[in-house]
Amino acid sequence: MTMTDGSRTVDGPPSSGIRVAFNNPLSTYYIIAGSTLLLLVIGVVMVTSASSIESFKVFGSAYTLAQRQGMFAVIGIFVMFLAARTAIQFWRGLAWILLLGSLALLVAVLVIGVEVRGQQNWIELFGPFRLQPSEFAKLGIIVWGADLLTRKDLRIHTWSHLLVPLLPVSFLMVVLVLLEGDFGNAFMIAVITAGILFAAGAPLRLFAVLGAVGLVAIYLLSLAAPYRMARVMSWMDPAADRLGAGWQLTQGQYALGTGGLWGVGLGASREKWGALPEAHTDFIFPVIGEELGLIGTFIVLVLFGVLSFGIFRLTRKTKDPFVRLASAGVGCWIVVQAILNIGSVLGLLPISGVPLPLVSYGGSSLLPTLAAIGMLLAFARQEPGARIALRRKSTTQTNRRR
Amino acid sequence: MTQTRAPVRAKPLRDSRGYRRPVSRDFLTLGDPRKRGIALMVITFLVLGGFAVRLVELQAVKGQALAGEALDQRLRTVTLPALRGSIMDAKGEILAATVESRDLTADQTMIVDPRSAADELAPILGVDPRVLALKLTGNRRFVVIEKGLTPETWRRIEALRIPGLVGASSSRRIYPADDLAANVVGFVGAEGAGLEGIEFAFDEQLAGIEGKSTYERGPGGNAIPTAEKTRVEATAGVDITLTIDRDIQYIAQQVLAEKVKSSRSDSGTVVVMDPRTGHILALATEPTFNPNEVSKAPADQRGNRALRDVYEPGSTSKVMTLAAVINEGASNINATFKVPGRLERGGKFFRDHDAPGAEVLTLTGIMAKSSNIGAIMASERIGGRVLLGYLKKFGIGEKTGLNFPGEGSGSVPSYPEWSPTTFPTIAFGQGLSLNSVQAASIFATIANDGVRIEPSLVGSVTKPDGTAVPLPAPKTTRVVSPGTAAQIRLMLEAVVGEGGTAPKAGIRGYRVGGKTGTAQMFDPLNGGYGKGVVASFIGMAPIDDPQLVVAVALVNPKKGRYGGRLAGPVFKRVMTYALQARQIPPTGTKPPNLPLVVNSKP
Repeated sequence: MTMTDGSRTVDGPPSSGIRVAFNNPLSTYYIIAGSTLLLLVIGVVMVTSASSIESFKVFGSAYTLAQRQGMFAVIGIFVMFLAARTAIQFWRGLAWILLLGSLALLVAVLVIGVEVRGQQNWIELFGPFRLQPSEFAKLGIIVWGADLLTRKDLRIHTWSHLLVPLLPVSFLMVVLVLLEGDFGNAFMIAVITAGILFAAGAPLRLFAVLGAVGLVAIYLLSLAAPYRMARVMSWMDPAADRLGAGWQLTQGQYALGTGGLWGVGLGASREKWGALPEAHTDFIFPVIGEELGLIGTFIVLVLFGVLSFGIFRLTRKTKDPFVRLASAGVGCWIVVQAILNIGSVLGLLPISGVPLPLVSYGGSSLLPTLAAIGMLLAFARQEPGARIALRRKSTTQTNRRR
Repeated sequence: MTQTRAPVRAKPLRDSRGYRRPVSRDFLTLGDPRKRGIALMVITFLVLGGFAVRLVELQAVKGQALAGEALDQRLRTVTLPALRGSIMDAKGEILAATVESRDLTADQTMIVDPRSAADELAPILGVDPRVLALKLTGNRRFVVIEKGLTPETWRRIEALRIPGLVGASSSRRIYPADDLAANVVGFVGAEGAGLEGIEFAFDEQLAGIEGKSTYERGPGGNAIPTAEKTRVEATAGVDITLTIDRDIQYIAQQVLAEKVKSSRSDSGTVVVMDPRTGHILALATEPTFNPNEVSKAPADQRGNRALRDVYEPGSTSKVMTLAAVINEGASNINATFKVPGRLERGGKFFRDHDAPGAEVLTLTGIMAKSSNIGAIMASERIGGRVLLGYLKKFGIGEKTGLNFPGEGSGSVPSYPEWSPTTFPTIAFGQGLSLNSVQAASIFATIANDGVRIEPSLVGSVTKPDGTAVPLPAPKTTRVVSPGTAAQIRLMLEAVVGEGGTAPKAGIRGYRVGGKTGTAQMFDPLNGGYGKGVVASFIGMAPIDDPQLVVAVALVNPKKGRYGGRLAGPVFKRVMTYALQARQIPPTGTKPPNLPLVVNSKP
């Protein structure tokens, strides 16, 4: 409704609804905001369902975790729309602060962090709340990296300027996150860095080298930690250790199979009754599949597709390299993390222990993600056509009010 | 900006901040961001598309199979126990019942102070607190402390509010009458299945049909409320009302126990029957056991000797012999026999144990004085083959139909196997075997005017909803004519009269008849007859309208030997009580005083 209203005021009478909506300079904003909010709603609803058993067991109330996630979502939406109102320069100005802040927190967590399930990557905040610096670090490397390469301008046409200091800083960050034991986020930071370089147009042979180095690193890390090796092995043959390392994967697929086409109904998951570990965090996707069926999982896939398309539009329309690089970074973050999460659930990728963006439980993951999307919305609002459209819209609204 | 900048190669250029672009040797050609963006978008859509295909595989194609495996993992089936039916005596007194009970278990990890918990708990359970404290100490999550507590005991334990103690719902079989009719009722094993007696014979019907509850549960054991559940309720077992009369059973057991003890017999049985129906009113065996404490009695004492143990009947068998002779018209009550002091048959000499020499006995005299030679001579009038036919009709060698565990059917050698001494031996009751109930049934046939009614122990079977389960009608067989039966009864009356072998069995005011038996016990170890005897007395009253048959047998008494003197008084006391309990009046007629001996030569 709002979209068509807006289009009329900009382009005059519509020729075709969809085309007009598509060409609307504000549609990038709506695509990103809409798909984000829908994923967020699905997330809160599914966390409410999937966390109820665990929550009751731990807190005595089935809704404690759901209430927290609801609160994170409300704060996150507020942060997102606040970020959407900022100027691009605001983010560029924040680049070094975000980077140094992220690095400081990553060092701090090694000193004062608490260990949860073998990963020392949480800093205790007030009450039940904890901060996971590695999630914020992703936002830090994106904003700083995009700003860095933009400021290099023509100089990025040399290898040394293209790779230094981006790669060393990124490497430092990856090492710090690995020291916490958070393999998933270390991998994500590496992928985001590669994504920014890719978007900047770095030669493909660079990625061949980086990919080879990455594979060797993953192999060595797997040798160092037996649980990682077990994850890889069980990914290759889940049936081999169905009750051990393959348990979670098997239960996840049981959930998907039980859901079938239409699902067993919202709230009616069987697997969440203790069989499926991490049902409300890393393995929420199978619960969606069980309760809402193939329809539900398809909707989630489509929403991630729509979100990535919105971000893609953003990179195409902008002439500002910072916007392009930062958008590509955020896009890599959300899309690759979603692919890692869903792919591991589907048994197509090894389990890396990353949450499903916007959907899984957890404020530390949700808030930086929504802040990053808020930044993208700010970019979308500042597309040349959008700026005019927004101005016209506000005047028509004020005229109407009169 | 990059788009416009990338293709530029030859022209020297300065960027916005005044840096010179790199010289051509170092110049790095960067990829087209537009193409890079499209590449990322395409890769993303390809991956998401691949995921969609995989989702179709997992949720649609393999969905059913995966769902099935998942269901197998969650599905639990719990059997719902069926309440076992009760066993009652003929008047409805409970002899066996299943009651609610609690099994006390402990989670040792939850018990904070085992010693003080044990001090509180021990007096209620009646156990040593130190032993109990050991059971409560440790890290085991599940320890059985005591099974089969009454609900009252559990309530007292619950009131102590000791965390870690759990009273699991269970059930317990109780036998309120303890050893009363224990060998009839039987008992159940630890798993609740009948192992002896009626509990065994009617196990399936008493047990009922187990129900089944199927539900899905998580690994924690919680039932998943949103999943499907099925529940088939259990059907309780039937109630069985026995033909046993608790009061007569009690007296029979008492009197028998005293006599077994005073005569130092190995064992003994008393069977009380209503001859008109075949109903067994009492079935006492000694030694017996308490079904509430089965393990305290040796296995040998838990069965039913009156059905299990077979013995050679001895003289009580003469009833069959003489009935056959009279029924065949070969002799009658007053016929006389010249009975010699000894008789040679098949190369062996037979004697009467207290006969002075040759004498002339009536057929009644042969019965009353229990003359073996007389019985042989009378039986020879009809021949062995005919006698064998009568024995079979009386039920020898055939199970009673009570379906008890280990029931003995008794036996009589088939005609082709007979040796020259078999026929004379069988005529006076050796060389064939039967159990106490079969022996009682022979007399009940005579009491019932010659019609044999298969003995029964079960009066009625009632379903939980109160409807009766129809029982098969007992098999009835005419064995001898009413006239034959009447003559035999008069002869039996003479046994307890003057000159008979059992004057001590008579009951004042009633006309009573019966037959003594002192049978040698076959010793299977030595393959011959040993010193031991089975002393028995089987009788009926009132003799001209018999309503009760009482059969007494004492196995291997060491003090006393003769059936008349040992078993006769037991018969008398049990019969006297039973007549009163059943309110059977005397018939008021007079005995005919039949002659036993015609003339005797000293």
